[in-house]
Amino acid sequence: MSTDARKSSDQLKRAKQKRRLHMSQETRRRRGIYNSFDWVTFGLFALLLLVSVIVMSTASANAMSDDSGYYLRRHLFMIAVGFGVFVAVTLFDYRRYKDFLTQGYIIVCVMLLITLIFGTGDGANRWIFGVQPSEAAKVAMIVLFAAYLDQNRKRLKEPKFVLQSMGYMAIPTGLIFMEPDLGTSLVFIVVMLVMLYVAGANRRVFGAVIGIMAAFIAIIFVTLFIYTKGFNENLSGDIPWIPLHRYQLMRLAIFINPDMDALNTGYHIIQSKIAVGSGGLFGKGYGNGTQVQGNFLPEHHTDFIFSVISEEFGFFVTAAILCLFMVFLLRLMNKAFFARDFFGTLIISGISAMMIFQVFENVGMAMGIMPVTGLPLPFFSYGGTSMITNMAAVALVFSVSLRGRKV
Amino acid sequence: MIKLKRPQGATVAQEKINKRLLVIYLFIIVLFVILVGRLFFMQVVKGQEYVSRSDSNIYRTITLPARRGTIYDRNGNVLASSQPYMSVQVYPNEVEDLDALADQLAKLFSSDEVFEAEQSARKNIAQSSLSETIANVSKQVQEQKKEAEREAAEKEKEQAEEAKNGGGTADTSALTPTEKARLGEAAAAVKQKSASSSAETEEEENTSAETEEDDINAAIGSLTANTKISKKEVLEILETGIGSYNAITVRTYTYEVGVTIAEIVAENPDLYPGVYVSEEPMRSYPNGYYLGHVLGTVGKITDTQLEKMTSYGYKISDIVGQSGLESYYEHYTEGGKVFSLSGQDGHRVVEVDAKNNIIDVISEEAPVAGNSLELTIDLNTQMHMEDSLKRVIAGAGNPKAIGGSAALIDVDTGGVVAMASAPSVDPNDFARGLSSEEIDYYFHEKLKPQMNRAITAGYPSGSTFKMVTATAILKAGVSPNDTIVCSEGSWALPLAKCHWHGGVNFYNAVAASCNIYFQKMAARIGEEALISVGLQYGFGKKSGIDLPSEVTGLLPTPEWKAQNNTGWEKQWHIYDTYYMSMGQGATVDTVIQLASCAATIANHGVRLRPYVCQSILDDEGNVLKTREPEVVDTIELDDADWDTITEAMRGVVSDGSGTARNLFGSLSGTLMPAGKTGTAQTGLAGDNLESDNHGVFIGFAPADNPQVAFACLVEYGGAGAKSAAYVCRDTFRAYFGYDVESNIILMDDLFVSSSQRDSDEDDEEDDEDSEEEAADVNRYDLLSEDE
Repeated sequence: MSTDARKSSDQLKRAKQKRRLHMSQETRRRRGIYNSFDWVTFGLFALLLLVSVIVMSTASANAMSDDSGYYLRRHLFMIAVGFGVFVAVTLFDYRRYKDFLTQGYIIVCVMLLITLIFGTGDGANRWIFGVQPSEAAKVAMIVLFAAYLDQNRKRLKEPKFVLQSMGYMAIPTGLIFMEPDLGTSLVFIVVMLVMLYVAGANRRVFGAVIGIMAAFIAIIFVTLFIYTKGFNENLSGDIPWIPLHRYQLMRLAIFINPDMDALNTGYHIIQSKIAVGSGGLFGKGYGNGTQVQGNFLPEHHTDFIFSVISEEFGFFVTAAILCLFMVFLLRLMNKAFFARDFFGTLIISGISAMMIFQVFENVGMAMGIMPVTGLPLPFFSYGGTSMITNMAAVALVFSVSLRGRKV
Repeated sequence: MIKLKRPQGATVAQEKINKRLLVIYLFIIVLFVILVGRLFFMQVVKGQEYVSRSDSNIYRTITLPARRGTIYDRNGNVLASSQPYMSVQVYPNEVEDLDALADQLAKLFSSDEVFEAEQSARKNIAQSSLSETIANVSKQVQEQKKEAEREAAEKEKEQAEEAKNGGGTADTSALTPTEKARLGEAAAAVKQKSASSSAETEEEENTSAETEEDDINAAIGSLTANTKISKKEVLEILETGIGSYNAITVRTYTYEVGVTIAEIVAENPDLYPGVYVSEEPMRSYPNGYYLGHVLGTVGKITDTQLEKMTSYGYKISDIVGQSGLESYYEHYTEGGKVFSLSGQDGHRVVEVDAKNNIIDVISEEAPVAGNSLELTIDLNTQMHMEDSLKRVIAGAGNPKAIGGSAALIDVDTGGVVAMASAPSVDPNDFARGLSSEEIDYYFHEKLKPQMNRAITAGYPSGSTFKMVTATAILKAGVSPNDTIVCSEGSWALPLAKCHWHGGVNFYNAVAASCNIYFQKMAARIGEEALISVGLQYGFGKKSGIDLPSEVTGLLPTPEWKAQNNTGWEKQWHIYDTYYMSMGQGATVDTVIQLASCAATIANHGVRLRPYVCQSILDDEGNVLKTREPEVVDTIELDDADWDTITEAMRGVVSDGSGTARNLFGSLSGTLMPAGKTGTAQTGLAGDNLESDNHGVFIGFAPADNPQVAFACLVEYGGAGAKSAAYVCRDTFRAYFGYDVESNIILMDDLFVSSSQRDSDEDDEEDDEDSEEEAADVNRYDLLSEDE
């Protein structure tokens, strides 16, 4: 392909984009936009949000007895706010985040520290001023860690640096773990590992760390096996040398055998499985999910919203929604190949890792193949901070993509 | 759409990154495949399983209990009915803090309000039944049991010593004398109690009212002790239901108390989460222990019953008849039609939410009330028969006399007018659930109060069986005027001994119950003739009465002997015929068989099937089925011969030499009965052959135009004329309208007669003679007896 031809085709495309985005050449250059906006991915995203609204309308109908539309209105409001954030983040040149590396890190850590000390919540200090800083910290730390790795790209093969970078992530992760919020801290760990892997960190160190973690998980389950007499008896208290609370350990234990504490810790998972399974091929119909509408399944508009989808809409629709999710996430992931720089690639991999882990953990939990950790299903579970930060995360991918190499 | 697009012309470093990105990319696909696969497994493969679990979450089937049918006597008196009862239930899955709830419930159950309501309810129960008396008896029995155990140890030592001295003949398997004496005391307590209550009805407002009040208060005092319940006990009950979505019944209360509790619970729903008070019917028998054996008891369905009855729609925890009519008509099929006392429970299927609020009624199936029964029983006669039987047992003077039974049959239909068995059963106790005291009483291995002795117990019937022999003699063509000499010279072995009667014809023989006459006549006509008449009377076979657990008894035949004996005894010998002619030897009869026999004589050979239930009614009182008299067998004999038999039996009660003369004097001439006494040797090891005899009496009245036939056997009652015949007289009096007033006279009679016993009787004196003889005759000689 000759340079001229490429030029002319570029011109044609830009002309098209100009019509679509109504953005002047000047604005585009100022904002570093070289690439066309991916309307297909955005369409999938919009479709996903539309489905989430429908699901929320039935899932939250009985969540508040005197105002059945409360959660639906809040959900729609958060989507609206999130869309504003989406536009702003998309238009902002992601490369300028590198300038805030130090300040950003300090802000995130301080915010998490404040939350840890002054935060409120049911059994954990997760909220402050009505927001969940740990949710925002997830996206912020992806960007910061990407910038950090980008800055130290040449040292990636040094074992010392790999450990150092883990320490960099360990501080906010630890603060969240202490809230306590096991689920979110697990997201941090997974994101960190994926980003280090994509960045090409020293293989030996990387492998060793993964091995240690796997061993730690194995030890926890073996210990639980012993303490619960083969997953039959409830734990009487904390296990001294495992830094997890009793309820967190119980959640891990009932993952193996939900019936060992069927009316307390195991109740959610048992009822969720009943909800999912009883949906059958075609579901019980919109608003007719007996598990949901009869309140047998608690927290069905937040953590267990996937059970609502499967109970009321059945296998075909639920599988279609999962496919929609997958295609959307793969298309986001695909943009990593076309990022303009290392920083952009890492951001996209981090965000993809975050999304896929949350989806897999949440859906897997509802179906009993993952332990209960209280992670929301992105875009579906009710929660303002989660919705806005997830939309910002998607916007970040678009921001990288717009400034990436040509597809 | 998801086709991976990869840029061209990347650098080496970029290629490496792209490779790792590709791994992540594929990893995402794998994760989603896992999720969709799991979804498919749960919703499609295991879908049905989860649907049923989901259904069991939301659908609750509420049983709408069917009202059990009412049982009436022939005059419409209620004998058994279902009263509403209240049970306090808890749904444990609705309760967050079981401990706190247990605390609250324990406080509630022990609160003053509940206590007061309970007290007034208990008072009502105490007044309408005599169950407390029975509890008292059981208490005594309990104490005696312990004492007897203690004494048994000592006894053993003594016996061991005696055995050394060569004098050990006592049978350890029988009751020890002390125990017998104490059981006698217990029976006497019942007697006194019933005597005092009947006295009270007589004197009404006098001192009796006070004593009754005292008794009731004492009873309440003993009952309130277990109305208190501790938190721990409640918690234990609640904990049995953890993990279940079904209700746990914590306690049941009478209707009034239940209403009080329901009000308290409704006022403080926060204090009592998951607590419901629901109404349930409970069986109630307003006449207490009267007719208890015939009515039977109800109780929770047993495993074996459930196995049989599941196909009729019975389910676990159903209350079903366990004995008597309650059991017989629990599920009764006749002519392809099914009748059932219990009816068919209805069901209401409701949809509930997680807090058990009813969202919707899915379906409702109304309960079908059970069928009611109208019995042939006459309650008044029944009560007098039972009272009389108890008095006679208590006054028998033999410590072994603890039981007995009697039956009165309408000779025209075969319907049972009254049927008594002692010791008594109060079915209310079973409906309410037995206390430990009551268990001691009802499961006492010697008293056996639960056994309906009229149909389930077999005894040698003694001389009353001579009516069978008498019939056979006439049937064989023997003239009633043929005479047999009964004197010491003719008492040759193996003939059983007799009193001296001189020359006796048929009439004298029946009246005086001459052993020699019947033995010799039986030998003359042969055992075949005797057995065939016996079978026609229904001996050795079930009478076919509509009550469960009837026994056949035994009418020995040469075949039976050959099969059940060894050696010499395999053959039928002449003495077998002798003993059979007097209802001894291997003969075992039931009281209902004897009553049926008396009715057959009264009917000139037509034997009707005895029955208790006249009609089966629907819940509105319409007759669904009524029983017609059913002829089971007919003994062909000339009317003249039947008249001869009746005349002879009339002689028993009216003739100068009759064994039961003067007894029925108070019945006027037209009501004069015909009867036959019997004093049966028990044939049991350890019994004194001369004094430990069953008192038996059969009869019918009026002799000229029979209406009812009677049979009674008093265990260890001694001479039939001195025990069973009294029950007969009282029963006939009650039946023919000698009401309550005469009750008192009857009692006086009894005590007079028992005190005058020795001087009054001449036949008895002969017994003393025979006692002397007894020492040097063999076993067969001892077996014989007479009055």
